[in-house]
Amino acid sequence: MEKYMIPENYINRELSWLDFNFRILNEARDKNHPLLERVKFLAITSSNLDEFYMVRVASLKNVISNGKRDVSGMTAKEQLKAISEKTHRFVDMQYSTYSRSLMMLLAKNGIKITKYGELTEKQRAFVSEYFHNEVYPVLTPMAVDSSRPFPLIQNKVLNICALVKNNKSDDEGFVTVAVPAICPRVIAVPSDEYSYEFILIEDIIRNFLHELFTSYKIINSCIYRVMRDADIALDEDDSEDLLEEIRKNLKQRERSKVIRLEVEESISSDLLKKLNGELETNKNDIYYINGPIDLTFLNKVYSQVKIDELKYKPYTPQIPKRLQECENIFDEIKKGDIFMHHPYYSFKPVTDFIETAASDENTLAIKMTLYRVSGNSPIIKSLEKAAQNGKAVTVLVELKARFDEGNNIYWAEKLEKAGCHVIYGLLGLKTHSKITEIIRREEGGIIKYVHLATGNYNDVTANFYTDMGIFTCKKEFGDDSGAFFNMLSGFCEPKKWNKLIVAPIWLREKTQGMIMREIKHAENGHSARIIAKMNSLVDPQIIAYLYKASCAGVKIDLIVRGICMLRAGVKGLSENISVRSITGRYLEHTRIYYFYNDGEENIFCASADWMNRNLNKRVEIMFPIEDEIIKEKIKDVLDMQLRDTLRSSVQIDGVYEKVDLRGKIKLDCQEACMEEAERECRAENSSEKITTFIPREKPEE
Amino acid sequence: MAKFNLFAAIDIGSSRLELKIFQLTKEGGVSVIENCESKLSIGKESYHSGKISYELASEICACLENFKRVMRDYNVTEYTCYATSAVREASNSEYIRDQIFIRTGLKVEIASNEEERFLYLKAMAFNMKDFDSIIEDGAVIIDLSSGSLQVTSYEKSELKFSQNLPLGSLRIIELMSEINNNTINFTKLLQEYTANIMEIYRNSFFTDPVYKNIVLIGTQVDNIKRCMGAESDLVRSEKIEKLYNEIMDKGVYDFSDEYDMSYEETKQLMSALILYRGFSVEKGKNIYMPDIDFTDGMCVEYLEKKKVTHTRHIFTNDVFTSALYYAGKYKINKKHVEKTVSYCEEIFKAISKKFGLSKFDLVLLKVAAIYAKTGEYMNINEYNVYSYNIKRSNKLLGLSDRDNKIISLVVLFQKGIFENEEYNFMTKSKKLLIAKLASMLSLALSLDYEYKQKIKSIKASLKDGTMTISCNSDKDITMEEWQFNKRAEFFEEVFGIKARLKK
Repeated sequence: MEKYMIPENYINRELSWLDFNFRILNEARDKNHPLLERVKFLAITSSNLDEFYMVRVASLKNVISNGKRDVSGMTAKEQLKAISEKTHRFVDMQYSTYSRSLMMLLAKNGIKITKYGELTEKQRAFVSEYFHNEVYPVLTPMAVDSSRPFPLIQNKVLNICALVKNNKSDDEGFVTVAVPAICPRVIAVPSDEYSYEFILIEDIIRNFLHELFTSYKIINSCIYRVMRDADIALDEDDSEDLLEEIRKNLKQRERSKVIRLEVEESISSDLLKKLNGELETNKNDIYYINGPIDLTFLNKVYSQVKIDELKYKPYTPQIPKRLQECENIFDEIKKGDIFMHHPYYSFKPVTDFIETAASDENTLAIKMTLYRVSGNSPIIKSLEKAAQNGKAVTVLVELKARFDEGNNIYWAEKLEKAGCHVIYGLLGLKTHSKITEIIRREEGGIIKYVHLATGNYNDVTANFYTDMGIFTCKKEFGDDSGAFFNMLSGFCEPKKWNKLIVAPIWLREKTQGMIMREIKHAENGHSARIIAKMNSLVDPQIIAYLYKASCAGVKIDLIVRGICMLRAGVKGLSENISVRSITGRYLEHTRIYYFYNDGEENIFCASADWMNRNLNKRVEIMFPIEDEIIKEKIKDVLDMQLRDTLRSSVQIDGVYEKVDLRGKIKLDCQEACMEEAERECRAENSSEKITTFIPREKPEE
Repeated sequence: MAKFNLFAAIDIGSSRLELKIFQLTKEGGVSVIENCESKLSIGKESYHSGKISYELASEICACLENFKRVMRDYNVTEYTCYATSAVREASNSEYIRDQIFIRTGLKVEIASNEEERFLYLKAMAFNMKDFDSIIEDGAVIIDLSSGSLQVTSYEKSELKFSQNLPLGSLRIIELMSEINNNTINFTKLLQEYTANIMEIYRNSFFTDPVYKNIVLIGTQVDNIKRCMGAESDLVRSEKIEKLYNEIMDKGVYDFSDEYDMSYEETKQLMSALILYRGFSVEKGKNIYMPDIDFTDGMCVEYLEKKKVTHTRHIFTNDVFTSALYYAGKYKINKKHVEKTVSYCEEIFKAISKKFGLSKFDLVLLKVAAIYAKTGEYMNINEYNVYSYNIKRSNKLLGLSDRDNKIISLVVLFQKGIFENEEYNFMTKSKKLLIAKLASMLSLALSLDYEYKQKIKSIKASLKDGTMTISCNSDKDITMEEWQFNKRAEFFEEVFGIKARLKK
């Protein structure tokens, strides 16, 4: 396998991620999307980039001195340089999309983000009142001088700094004030001209800065924001209480080093010198922004504007036919496995499954894993209720889920108070699997109902993340699920797995074994095919296996939304591999692995990507799809994704391009899935299979 | 309401703790709904140091607390929790039991080696389809645990002997850990250590091997099956030989890398293979390796207790056949023993109901009758003391240490003299039981005082405070009558009823 593992065969992981964000940015520039959806895509690129910096760039900066090369042959220093160049290009494009395209189109549609200077008298009066009543009381202006050290500038929070001159002594000084997080970022102002007119909070505060520093004259000011290292370095071996350790680390994270500084393009050199003198940001990491810093405010614009034509046509997630008619979900599962495909199918059956169990007299126990949950999670409520109803409830809450550490501490404590047995994850591993087990005592004996999924138990993200899951009560799955939870709750080692393939111990071996099996089939002259859909393809070893498979003649189609370190379509290496990335209305999140296996067709769904971290450092589950009807459905989804022409970008040797539409039917796989779900859930006969789709538009000449 | 109930079996073994939850239907159907296992080297510490440390006890409790949580998930209330040799042999085992009870609420019973092996046999009889035909054809059952090795032989469905050797897969490694530091060839060391003992053992018990079948159970069987890629429970002995050669050729480190096992586990597998192979070198033998463990035996025991089911093979008979086998080594008069046993049964039948004696008490009494005169082989005057010593050192499969003590004391007190230090410390109820059984045995022995079986049969009945034994004999039984009347006083003293012999 070593011969494939040479740097030229791998795309740099970070640069591949930036390409992904470029693809999202392209969605924001795609005129086929409704305007406000484009605005939302732009907001997504902004939050994506923030996360990328806090995690990836931060970790590269931490290893900058070791000089080691990554699998693509780059040192951390080289990577940071390349990232910086690419990000600067990206940010330019982001803001040109914002100001040259989207702002103008919004204005044409009666929506305006106004600057303070553009306000009418009437509007100024409104803003002044708003400032004095709502904002002023919560501001904490801070001057910096010999007796007052530079304050802690919080991660991701907007701030306004200014150079000031003392009215009496003429002494110059530096002041800063944080934009309070409790104030809404976007404020609607009364407007005669536009249907919606907004002003940003930082713009208001800046214009009242003189009222905060009354003895000073404001010379010039600037809005800025810092990004800090968000990685937490846990010493799990020595920490007796993981919950406390994480709490402590979160506190420390507030003061971690600054890795990116965004300032307005118009910042004066004096002010920048003063500001960066304190923050000590590398000059490559200073971004001069031509527009509002932190475009995530566009999400607020999206939610405040109620113009339906500018948004996607609303879609109601469907309830699978079998669950519409059944009286009891458990009886229905007994008739056969039930397939869920979110957000095309509603997430409600999943929350109902747990809710029903919570008050069901036959339910003895509920066990589940939680990685990211929504703010007002019905699942948490059901689990609390179940514990209060005397059920044995075991919940693994992964405290190390990045950016959700704080939330998860809260949920863990809440569940514990309700009487649940809470496990905080495993030492040194993140539990990323998504599984629920309900143990019922029924007339004929104990039956275990299991839900397995590719996505989190999060009722909110289930509305816009595509994920798959199954409900089953097959004994082998129940036994495995029991063994899985026993393994999680400690001390117990699974004797064997019937169906589940669990990382970090078994998943890599199984995956590599299945690729090798396809290679053997190809070598024996048989058809061999792999279709794999995931979020990221980063594992160097698996990529080497795929190259080997391609060289052996295995046809491989990869649907990788985000990072893909594999170079597709390279002669003599990956001619038989296609890579496509699907971006669109919904965030592609399902992980599906299909192996032709000489006609047997093995399909698996998983919580894991083919990433080193998923295969080696996380507890993940890959589960086989055995029900023939469900298998066909998943094959249809894969087929649709591979035939998609509108939402896909195809990668050839590291470069992504939209599908050339000439001579092809226009197909949006996500829309097709919505249509099929609607049709299927309406259909009289639920087994009716729809295999043809009506193209959205006529093929182009 | 549900037509089933749940039962949990917990095994605190030498290198692991196991929990199995069984679903049992009223019709006797059994299925496992939960099975979890925690690896914990209890034996490593207790065999080496002779006791269990506080830290290890805490780990045991933590595992058991986890098991209790799983039991709570299913709302299981009925359970058996047995600890075996690693706890049994620790000098502080009673404290450990107490600590476990205080911390987890679980009552741990210490299983004697014989009880443990007996439950394995029961599990085999219950779970193996061919068990009856295998023992009919002749079988040797090699039951290897971390602490010891039990070899049990069946001929024509009868238990011939069952012998325990202190050659457990873990114990050997522990015993040799000191020497091992000074040698690089662990494999050779292991072979040398076991070969000698095995040779003696094979020569004394397998001079004329009639068994066709070998059943391997216990520790490492699952690893052996996995490594040899066995798809069924039945393989030929050549396969064991092949695996044995492979592990010997490759050595611990290469083998463990290839089969993805820890070094410790591979060492245990190696010692297990050396031991198993010692009994299966002859080519062409059928080697059965059923998937059963101690918890399966606990389940069968529970089912029998609940009278839900029983195995076709009657294990109580095994107790008698093996008792006869061992007693036979002391040249007992078999006809005399047969008669005495039948007299015991008659007397017992007449009075057991009134005096609250159980069916199992009869088993104890009959075994005592078999051993009663073994001591005569050593000393004709104080034979009861020697019989007692023989029985004490001769443990029988299926009987607990407690049972063994009772039988030995019954044998000792057959003359009506109650002198024994251990007896003095026994509970009142146990003392009473021993006295009752001893007085019955004493009466029964008097009826064949001269070893001539002059009385063909007896019939005992209880009426108005007198037990009358009517005997059928056409011979002069003056001596028997004299002895009977002499011992009737002892009987009267114990039961408060008179015993009368009527011809």
